[in-house]
Amino acid sequence: MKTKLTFNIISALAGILFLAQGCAEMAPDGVYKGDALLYRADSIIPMSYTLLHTYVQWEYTNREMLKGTPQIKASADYVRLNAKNWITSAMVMREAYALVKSDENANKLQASLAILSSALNEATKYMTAHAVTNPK
Amino acid sequence: MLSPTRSNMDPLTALNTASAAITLLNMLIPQIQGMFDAGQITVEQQTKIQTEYAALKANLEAGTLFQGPEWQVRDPD
Repeated sequence: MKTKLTFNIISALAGILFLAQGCAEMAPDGVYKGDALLYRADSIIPMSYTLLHTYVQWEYTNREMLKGTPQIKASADYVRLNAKNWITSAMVMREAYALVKSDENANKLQASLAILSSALNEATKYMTAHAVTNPK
Repeated sequence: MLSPTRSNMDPLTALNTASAAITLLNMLIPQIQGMFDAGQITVEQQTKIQTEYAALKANLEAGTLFQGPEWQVRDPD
Protein backbone atom coordinates (compact mmCIF):
# COMPACT_ATOMS: atom_id res chain seq x y z
CA MET A 1 0.00 0.00 0.00
CA LYS A 2 2.92 2.29 0.69
CA THR A 3 4.10 1.82 -2.89
CA LYS A 4 0.63 2.57 -4.22
CA LEU A 5 0.54 5.73 -2.16
CA THR A 6 3.94 6.75 -3.51
CA PHE A 7 2.79 6.35 -7.10
CA ASN A 8 -0.43 8.20 -6.41
CA ILE A 9 1.68 11.05 -5.09
CA ILE A 10 3.86 10.91 -8.20
CA SER A 11 0.81 11.00 -10.45
CA ALA A 12 -0.51 14.01 -8.58
CA LEU A 13 2.83 15.81 -8.65
CA ALA A 14 3.28 15.15 -12.35
CA GLY A 15 -0.18 16.53 -13.00
CA ILE A 16 0.48 19.57 -10.85
CA LEU A 17 3.76 20.20 -12.65
CA PHE A 18 2.15 20.09 -16.07
CA LEU A 19 -0.72 22.33 -15.04
CA ALA A 20 1.11 24.77 -12.79
CA GLN A 21 3.86 25.60 -15.21
CA GLY A 22 1.35 26.96 -17.64
CA CYS A 23 0.30 29.71 -15.25
CA ALA A 24 3.34 30.27 -13.03
CA GLU A 25 4.69 33.79 -12.76
CA MET A 26 8.13 34.22 -14.26
CA ALA A 27 10.85 36.45 -12.83
CA PRO A 28 11.12 38.91 -15.75
CA ASP A 29 14.89 39.25 -15.57
CA GLY A 30 15.49 35.52 -15.98
CA VAL A 31 16.90 33.85 -19.08
CA TYR A 32 13.38 33.26 -20.44
CA LYS A 33 12.46 36.97 -20.27
CA GLY A 34 9.00 36.13 -18.99
CA ASP A 35 8.23 33.52 -21.64
CA ALA A 36 6.36 30.90 -19.62
CA LEU A 37 5.76 28.61 -22.60
CA LEU A 38 9.45 28.34 -23.40
CA TYR A 39 10.25 27.72 -19.73
CA ARG A 40 7.53 25.08 -19.59
CA ALA A 41 8.91 23.34 -22.67
CA ASP A 42 12.44 23.32 -21.27
CA SER A 43 11.10 21.86 -18.01
CA ILE A 44 8.88 19.21 -19.51
CA ILE A 45 11.11 17.83 -22.27
CA PRO A 46 14.05 16.71 -20.08
CA MET A 47 11.72 15.50 -17.34
CA SER A 48 9.71 13.52 -19.90
CA TYR A 49 12.85 11.77 -21.10
CA THR A 50 13.82 10.87 -17.54
CA LEU A 51 10.34 9.62 -16.66
CA LEU A 52 9.98 7.56 -19.83
CA HIS A 53 13.47 6.17 -19.30
CA THR A 54 12.51 5.22 -15.76
CA TYR A 55 9.44 3.46 -17.12
CA VAL A 56 11.22 1.33 -19.73
CA GLN A 57 14.02 0.61 -17.24
CA TRP A 58 11.43 -0.53 -14.70
CA GLU A 59 9.81 -2.86 -17.24
CA TYR A 60 13.22 -4.15 -18.37
CA THR A 61 14.37 -4.79 -14.81
CA ASN A 62 11.15 -6.58 -13.89
CA ARG A 63 10.66 -8.33 -17.23
CA GLU A 64 10.37 -11.86 -15.94
CA MET A 65 8.11 -10.92 -13.08
CA LEU A 66 5.79 -8.91 -15.33
CA LYS A 67 5.46 -11.73 -17.85
CA GLY A 68 1.87 -12.43 -16.84
CA THR A 69 0.79 -8.91 -17.76
CA PRO A 70 1.30 -8.50 -21.53
CA GLN A 71 -0.20 -5.02 -21.53
CA ILE A 72 2.91 -3.80 -19.71
CA LYS A 73 5.08 -5.19 -22.51
CA ALA A 74 2.86 -3.59 -25.13
CA SER A 75 2.90 -0.24 -23.36
CA ALA A 76 6.66 -0.21 -22.71
CA ASP A 77 7.41 -1.31 -26.27
CA TYR A 78 5.14 1.46 -27.54
CA VAL A 79 7.21 3.93 -25.54
CA ARG A 80 10.44 2.36 -26.88
CA LEU A 81 9.24 2.73 -30.45
CA ASN A 82 7.98 6.29 -30.11
CA ALA A 83 9.78 8.09 -27.29
CA LYS A 84 12.67 9.29 -29.46
CA ASN A 85 10.25 10.75 -31.97
CA TRP A 86 8.16 12.40 -29.23
CA ILE A 87 11.20 13.99 -27.59
CA THR A 88 12.82 14.99 -30.89
CA SER A 89 9.60 16.49 -32.22
CA ALA A 90 9.10 18.50 -29.03
CA MET A 91 12.65 19.80 -29.31
CA VAL A 92 12.18 20.78 -32.95
CA MET A 93 8.98 22.65 -32.06
CA ARG A 94 10.71 24.25 -29.08
CA GLU A 95 13.57 25.49 -31.25
CA ALA A 96 11.17 26.80 -33.89
CA TYR A 97 9.18 28.68 -31.25
CA ALA A 98 12.34 30.09 -29.66
CA LEU A 99 13.36 31.40 -33.09
CA VAL A 100 9.97 32.75 -34.20
CA LYS A 101 7.41 33.31 -31.44
CA SER A 102 4.33 33.14 -33.62
CA ASP A 103 0.94 31.77 -32.59
CA GLU A 104 1.38 28.92 -35.04
CA ASN A 105 4.70 27.86 -33.52
CA ALA A 106 3.31 28.23 -30.01
CA ASN A 107 0.38 25.97 -30.90
CA LYS A 108 2.66 23.36 -32.43
CA LEU A 109 4.89 23.40 -29.36
CA GLN A 110 1.91 23.03 -27.03
CA ALA A 111 0.63 20.12 -29.11
CA SER A 112 3.96 18.33 -28.88
CA LEU A 113 4.06 18.89 -25.11
CA ALA A 114 0.54 17.46 -24.86
CA ILE A 115 1.74 14.29 -26.58
CA LEU A 116 4.53 13.96 -24.03
CA SER A 117 2.06 14.55 -21.23
CA SER A 118 -0.18 11.80 -22.57
CA ALA A 119 2.75 9.36 -22.74
CA LEU A 120 3.73 10.17 -19.16
CA ASN A 121 0.19 9.61 -17.96
CA GLU A 122 0.20 6.22 -19.67
CA ALA A 123 3.51 5.19 -18.09
CA THR A 124 2.45 6.40 -14.65
CA LYS A 125 -0.88 4.59 -14.99
CA TYR A 126 0.77 1.24 -15.61
CA MET A 127 3.36 1.63 -12.90
CA THR A 128 0.64 2.71 -10.49
CA ALA A 129 -1.56 -0.26 -11.40
CA HIS A 130 1.25 -2.68 -10.69
CA ALA A 131 2.31 -1.03 -7.52
CA VAL A 132 -0.91 -2.28 -5.92
CA THR A 133 -0.12 -5.27 -3.77
CA ASN A 134 -2.59 -8.05 -3.14
CA PRO A 135 -5.80 -6.29 -4.11
CA LYS A 136 -8.78 -8.10 -2.70
CA MET B 1 -5.82 1.78 -25.34
CA LEU B 2 -5.06 -1.23 -23.27
CA SER B 3 -6.30 -1.20 -19.72
CA PRO B 4 -4.11 -2.26 -16.82
CA THR B 5 -4.84 -5.21 -14.61
CA ARG B 6 -3.84 -5.50 -11.01
CA SER B 7 -1.70 -8.39 -9.95
CA ASN B 8 0.02 -9.69 -6.87
CA MET B 9 3.61 -8.51 -6.70
CA ASP B 10 6.59 -10.27 -5.21
CA PRO B 11 8.98 -8.44 -2.89
CA LEU B 12 11.67 -7.87 -5.56
CA THR B 13 9.20 -6.28 -7.95
CA ALA B 14 7.87 -4.17 -5.12
CA LEU B 15 11.41 -3.08 -4.30
CA ASN B 16 12.18 -2.15 -7.89
CA THR B 17 8.87 -0.35 -8.20
CA ALA B 18 9.50 1.57 -5.01
CA SER B 19 12.97 2.47 -6.26
CA ALA B 20 11.53 3.83 -9.49
CA ALA B 21 8.97 5.77 -7.49
CA ILE B 22 11.64 7.37 -5.32
CA THR B 23 13.58 8.37 -8.44
CA LEU B 24 10.53 10.10 -9.83
CA LEU B 25 9.70 11.80 -6.55
CA ASN B 26 13.23 13.11 -6.17
CA MET B 27 12.93 14.63 -9.61
CA LEU B 28 9.48 16.14 -9.36
CA ILE B 29 9.38 17.57 -5.86
CA PRO B 30 12.22 20.13 -6.14
CA GLN B 31 10.77 21.56 -9.33
CA ILE B 32 7.33 21.95 -7.80
CA GLN B 33 8.72 23.33 -4.54
CA GLY B 34 10.76 25.88 -6.44
CA MET B 35 7.67 26.89 -8.32
CA PHE B 36 5.52 27.62 -5.28
CA ASP B 37 7.96 28.47 -2.48
CA ALA B 38 9.10 31.74 -3.98
CA GLY B 39 5.72 32.60 -5.48
CA GLN B 40 7.34 32.84 -8.88
CA ILE B 41 9.91 31.07 -11.03
CA THR B 42 13.17 32.60 -9.95
CA VAL B 43 16.09 33.68 -12.12
CA GLU B 44 18.16 30.83 -10.68
CA GLN B 45 15.48 28.27 -11.42
CA GLN B 46 15.14 29.53 -14.98
CA THR B 47 18.88 29.21 -15.50
CA LYS B 48 18.85 25.68 -14.06
CA ILE B 49 16.01 24.60 -16.35
CA GLN B 50 17.69 26.09 -19.39
CA THR B 51 20.93 24.28 -18.53
CA GLU B 52 19.12 20.96 -18.13
CA TYR B 53 17.37 21.39 -21.47
CA ALA B 54 20.67 22.28 -23.17
CA ALA B 55 22.29 19.17 -21.68
CA LEU B 56 19.50 16.93 -22.94
CA LYS B 57 19.69 18.49 -26.38
CA ALA B 58 23.46 17.98 -26.50
CA ASN B 59 23.07 14.34 -25.46
CA LEU B 60 20.39 13.77 -28.08
CA GLU B 61 22.57 15.30 -30.77
CA ALA B 62 25.52 13.21 -29.58
CA GLY B 63 23.41 10.08 -29.90
CA THR B 64 23.80 9.04 -26.28
CA LEU B 65 20.08 8.86 -25.46
CA PHE B 66 17.78 5.87 -26.08
CA GLN B 67 20.80 3.58 -26.27
CA GLY B 68 20.65 1.09 -23.40
CA PRO B 69 19.20 -2.43 -23.57
CA GLU B 70 16.13 -1.12 -21.78
CA TRP B 71 15.27 0.80 -24.96
CA GLN B 72 15.32 -2.27 -27.20
CA VAL B 73 11.93 -3.60 -28.22
CA ARG B 74 11.46 -7.14 -27.04
CA ASP B 75 10.65 -9.95 -29.37
CA PRO B 76 7.05 -11.16 -29.12
CA ASP B 77 6.59 -13.85 -26.48
